[in-house]
Amino acid sequence: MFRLSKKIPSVCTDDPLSKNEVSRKMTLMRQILISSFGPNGRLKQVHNNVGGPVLTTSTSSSLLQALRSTDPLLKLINASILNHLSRFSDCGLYVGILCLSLISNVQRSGLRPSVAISLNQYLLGLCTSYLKQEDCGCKVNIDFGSSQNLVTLARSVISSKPACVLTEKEQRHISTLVVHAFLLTVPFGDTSETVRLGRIVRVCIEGQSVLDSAVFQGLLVDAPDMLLPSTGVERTRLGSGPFRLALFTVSLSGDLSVLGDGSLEVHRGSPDPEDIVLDQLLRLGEQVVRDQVDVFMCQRVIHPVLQHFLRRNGVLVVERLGVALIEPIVQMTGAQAVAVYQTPVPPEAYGQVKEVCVRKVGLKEMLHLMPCGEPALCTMVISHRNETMLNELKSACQKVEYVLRLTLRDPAALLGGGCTETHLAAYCRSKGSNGAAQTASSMAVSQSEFLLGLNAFCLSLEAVSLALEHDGGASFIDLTHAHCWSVPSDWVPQWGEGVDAPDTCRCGLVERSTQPAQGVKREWTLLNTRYPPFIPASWVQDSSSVPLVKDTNPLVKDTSHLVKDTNPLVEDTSHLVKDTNPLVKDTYPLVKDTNPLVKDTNPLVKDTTHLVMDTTHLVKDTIPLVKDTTPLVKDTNPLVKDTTLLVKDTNPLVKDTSHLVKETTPLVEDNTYKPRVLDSFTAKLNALQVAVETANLILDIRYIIQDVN
Amino acid sequence: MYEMTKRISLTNGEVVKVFKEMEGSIINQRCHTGLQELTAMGAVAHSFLGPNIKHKFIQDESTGESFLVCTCFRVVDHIDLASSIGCVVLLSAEQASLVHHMKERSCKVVLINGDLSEKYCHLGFNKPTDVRYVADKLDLKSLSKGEVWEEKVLTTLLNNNVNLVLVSGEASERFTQRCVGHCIVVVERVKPAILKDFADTTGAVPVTYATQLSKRCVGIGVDISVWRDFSGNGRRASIAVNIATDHSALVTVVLSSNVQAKLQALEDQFWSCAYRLHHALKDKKLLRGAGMTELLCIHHLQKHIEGRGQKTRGQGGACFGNVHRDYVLHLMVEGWMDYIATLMLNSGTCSKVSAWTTINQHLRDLNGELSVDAVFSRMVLRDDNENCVNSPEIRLSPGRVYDNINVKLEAWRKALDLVFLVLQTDTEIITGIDPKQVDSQSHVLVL
Repeated sequence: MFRLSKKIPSVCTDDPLSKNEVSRKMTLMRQILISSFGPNGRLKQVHNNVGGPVLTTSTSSSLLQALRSTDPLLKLINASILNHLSRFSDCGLYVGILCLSLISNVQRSGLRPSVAISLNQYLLGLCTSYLKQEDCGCKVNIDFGSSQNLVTLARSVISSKPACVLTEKEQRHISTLVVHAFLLTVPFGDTSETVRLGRIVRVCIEGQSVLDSAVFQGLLVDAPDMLLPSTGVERTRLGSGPFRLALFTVSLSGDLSVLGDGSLEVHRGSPDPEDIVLDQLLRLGEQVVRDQVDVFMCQRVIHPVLQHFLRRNGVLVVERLGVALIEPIVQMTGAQAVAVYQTPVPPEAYGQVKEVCVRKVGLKEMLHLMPCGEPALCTMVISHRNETMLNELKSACQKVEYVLRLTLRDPAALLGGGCTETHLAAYCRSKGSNGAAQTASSMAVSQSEFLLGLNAFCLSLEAVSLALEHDGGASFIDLTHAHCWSVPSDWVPQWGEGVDAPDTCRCGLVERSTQPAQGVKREWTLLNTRYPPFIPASWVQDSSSVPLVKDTNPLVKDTSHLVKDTNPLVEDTSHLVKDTNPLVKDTYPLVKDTNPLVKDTNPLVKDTTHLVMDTTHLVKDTIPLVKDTTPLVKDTNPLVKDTTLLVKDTNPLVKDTSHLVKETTPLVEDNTYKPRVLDSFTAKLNALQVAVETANLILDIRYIIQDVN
Repeated sequence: MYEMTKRISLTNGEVVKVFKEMEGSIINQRCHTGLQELTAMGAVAHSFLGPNIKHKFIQDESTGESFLVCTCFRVVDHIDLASSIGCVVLLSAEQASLVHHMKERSCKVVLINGDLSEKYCHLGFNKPTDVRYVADKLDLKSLSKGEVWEEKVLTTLLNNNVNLVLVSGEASERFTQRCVGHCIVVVERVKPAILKDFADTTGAVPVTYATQLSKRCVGIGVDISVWRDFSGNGRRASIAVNIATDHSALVTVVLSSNVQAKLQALEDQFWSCAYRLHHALKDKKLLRGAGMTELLCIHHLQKHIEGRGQKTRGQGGACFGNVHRDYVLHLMVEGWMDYIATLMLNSGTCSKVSAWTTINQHLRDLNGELSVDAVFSRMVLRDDNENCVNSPEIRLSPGRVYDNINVKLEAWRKALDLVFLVLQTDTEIITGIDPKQVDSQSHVLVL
């Protein structure tokens, strides 16, 4: 029997933006996003209507997953924000706020959509090209020789998540840790074209203080208490020395493999199929023991009889690793994950670990596997007092990691705290109003339309800065650098003298006390008022502000030189084979370079002595080389080897810089200035583009046709 | 839980920072689900405060289960102080009779980490459902699969002279009976931690399947003796047996009560007591209990408020950002006052109003010197309780009540965390609702 249902015609909505319902929903969405923006943002409690788990958050990624709207336009915006987040993981709320503000500002200005779109596109181009300029006033170049900017960047992301409930000290601790972990994932001394970044494995522990969070090299693996070796025999085996490791992803629980359709008939007298499987497993065990495997790991369950057999032979057995840990283990140990147990394990499938020990993390005992070589892999233990805050902290750390990776691609950061937006707005206003008539005619719009569009765009940028203020305070802009200043609500400003202005602007770069120029007083105006267009001055790094802008730590600086120095060294080795004469010259500067290092850095002394020793070898070797030229090519080979050793030796030295991160932080603390707030350059630049383009797309939509069948 | 809700107080800059952001009116207006639930829980938790035993009878209507809850620390009456080192278990009369024969000689033990039955499979093993066992002729003489298994395990046990089998799961009744016939005691439902201790002290290796047992899995040096006979008329005979090893870290505490419903509550009390002791030893210092610490905190806060007030007046205002600070500090003081007042109310010594008066009186007296007021402490403690007279410790030392320092600080910290999260939340987002259903509700906005 067929049942025919009448087809309902599609619903067509004309000019959707003019509908009341749509604009109400957009305003609501904008209010939600604005209220969760920034370090003082309010949290949102998300749960479903049947009493599921409650999520308390202000993070864009979790919030936007929950904010599913029925409106197609909002769905579009939501999707483009989530898409941006999946690529850059940061600045999600920023995209939403800017996009929705731009739409509402354009609507309020009464511009025709087509005009507004072309103007937005032009202004977006103006902004992006300005941001990409070298002398951009709101960009800070990140020097990887110094950890300060990286830590600031990390801290800016973490502090913008109020649901983490962190104190100043905890914020500093966590951001330093994340930067430390990030540095551990960057491989050093790799001269090949493609550099593969390592990974950070996160272990979350609830109920401990945040200050108990830590970073370990290698992997921490959960092992149930019963499984941990307790007898003396096994403990001694867990000494040092590389251990051979076997890794299985297939279940070794002794299950019969799936029989397919039909059933299996077993006749009396014939062996039990379960016993046959167990025999197979034990054969595997015998092979593993024969191959002198020390650590036996399996993603799933291992049959107790096999476990018993392996343990009796002194093998450390770890079962139920879970799928998430398999790839890091493969990456760290070089083992291949074996997916069958019926055939013997090929010898190349075994991996190696340098050290295995039992480490107490929180209340849990975990197995700590140390890598043999130096694969860039580390474990970050994140602990917090309760689950909600722990989840938020975990996602924040993930974001920081991603943001730091983005800086590798583009070593720059933008000023945070809304200063970039006010700066950009001031720049657009000055650029736009300067040649307004000319630009307008070239774009085939009237001058008044151009100015309206410009105003709408700049107001939207400023709306993002304003969104950071949640407690009724006022936001101001100074008329020299166009930075954003915030003032608490209960405070009466006396702008004439500029006496009671806050000490610094929101990003912490511009100070009240410094004079913008000789004889010029700093002036401020409320952020959402009109001000005369001016070209915002970029922040000049004069000598008075050295502690703030430049790195204060000579130690880190030196090591950064060192990192740079190793590169020409590696390059030189390629020339080495060709002509030996400049070789001796080349080695001398090397020794020279290390000398200041020895003076400067106490913790580095050990490593540098190695370096110096090696270079003396190098110098020794070169002397016979110069004397007799006949075995030239032969002799250079060990020489090249030596230099590679040299390069390797510099690695621990470079690695030490990651430890130095800890030492630099007290130095940062010494600054009496407020720490700066930085945002990821790549993420924000893309966020800007996504926001404006999404807004343009929405403005461009004339009809919505919905199939309601 | 009361601590979570009411003691929102630390002289921490952070509190002020958060509270500063809220104006008074907003705090009162805001009443989303989280806050409502907290208030409700706080109200219930009030009656848990203090040393008076106020049992809560909790009943689950759907299952009909019920249990008794209370918080207090008078467990000593119910603990049998004759308990000894080792593991005390209850055995049936038949098994216990074997113990009589076994005493005064050390016996051998095996540990089974699973069930002691033929049907048992380890966790993670999927028993295939589509396997059929087919016989071509009926053989009535041969043993069944289960019998073969029993025979095999029993032979292994007897060959190794095992006298005691500790099983973490359940043991099949038939096999246990057979073991009794061969002088082997089987103890079921032994906790994994206890198995581990026996593994460490006797050298036995825990196995999952009894068929895995071999000579090297057997542990030695276990003493087993009858501890006490609990068999009475009309009840199932059960005899407590102590299983001990040298260097064992196990201690068994026997809690007894003539009311069955109280047993669980008693166990909870025991553990809370044990943890208190543990933390006290770990911290190596204590806080004064019975509201004394809170009283000092109030005193400190009040001085702080006064000091600040004078300072700002001296400067002539203009100290921005801290307008709400005093107000918040005052709220904290009130929170603590309420805590102590509830404590006194629950002790039955006075009404809430007179409690507040007393506290204020004591705060005035405290000015200057910070001495422990024994009278005050006694008011908080149960004075009118009959038990008190019988218990020499409490009668002799009035006012000797202490709290764990780190536990209390942690509780404050956790309470603060919760307050931060709840107060900073301004919107509740409910997902998965059909928009048509909520149109009538005016306070809900649909996105």
